[in-house]
Amino acid sequence: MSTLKDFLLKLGTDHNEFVKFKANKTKSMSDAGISEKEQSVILKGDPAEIKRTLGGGEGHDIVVIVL
Amino acid sequence: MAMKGTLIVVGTGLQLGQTTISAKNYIQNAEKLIYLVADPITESWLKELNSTAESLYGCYGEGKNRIDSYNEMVDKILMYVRNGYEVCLALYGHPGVFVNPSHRAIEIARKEGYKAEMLPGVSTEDCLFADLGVDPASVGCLSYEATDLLLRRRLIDPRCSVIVWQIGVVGNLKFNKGKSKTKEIGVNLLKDYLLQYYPSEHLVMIYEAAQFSVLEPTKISCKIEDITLNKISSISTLYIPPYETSSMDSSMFYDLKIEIN
Repeated sequence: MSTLKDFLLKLGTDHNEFVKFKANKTKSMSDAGISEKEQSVILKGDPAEIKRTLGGGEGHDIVVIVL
Repeated sequence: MAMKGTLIVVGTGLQLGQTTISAKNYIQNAEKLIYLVADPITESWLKELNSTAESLYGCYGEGKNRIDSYNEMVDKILMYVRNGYEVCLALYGHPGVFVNPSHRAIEIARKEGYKAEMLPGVSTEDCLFADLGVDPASVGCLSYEATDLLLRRRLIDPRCSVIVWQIGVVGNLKFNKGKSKTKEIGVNLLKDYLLQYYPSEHLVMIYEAAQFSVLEPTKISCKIEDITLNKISSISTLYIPPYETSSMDSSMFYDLKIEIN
């Protein structure tokens, strides 16, 4: 059983896994053991919701203003 | 002779996978890795690559002025450099684009005799050129920060592409975790300013680069008059295509000895 964080990390570092995901998102996520609830978050495509699902404490809300 | 202690500043891009090979090598081999990134996946990756990884996120504080946070960040980075470490500072996006602490830390480190360098990274603008199919060379391109655009009444040339950064935090100089969002008045003032240069029905694009490899970029096309707060997030960028065409100066062809066949 893979966590969502592990899965996204894998997609960002392993091109073959990324290609598999692009070809069939649901199968790729099911094969990786991603829960149905987490799959729906990914398929919905809202980055804020993905961050909330990933958790991890820090808000990662970084905006930089140079004045 | 350069003092012991070095600083290399690198960018991690907008999502995992956009870090250059050279930047990754510095991240992996640094004696001390300091970072500030915008997503937990990149954070995990950095921690995997280098066990000394330390976040600068703690320098932010609710309602704290950003400039105070940046000063703290610079102090922390330079503390390790002064103690003789080979430091790598890894920052979200391009480390020199819309980033205050990276430039300041390099400037101070060099003044104090330390070797300090910045490597280029992938910025929002780079992603925008790719995702929207815009070539800045074709008609020229102006790039402004939204608050700066309004405060300094920067000039806009409607014959060029115009990129307005950080339209989601117009006038917001403080850090507010999870709610660093512009107020409606900021959006309205920005619209009013743009309407001095463009007709209200001119189509623009509200853009967000994809933050995860599983996502597509966000592209919302609308008329300038229809830009509203609910279409904008804290990381939105506004792309304004040219409204007018540029004529050429025929005498310049002669001066440049350009032959037209």
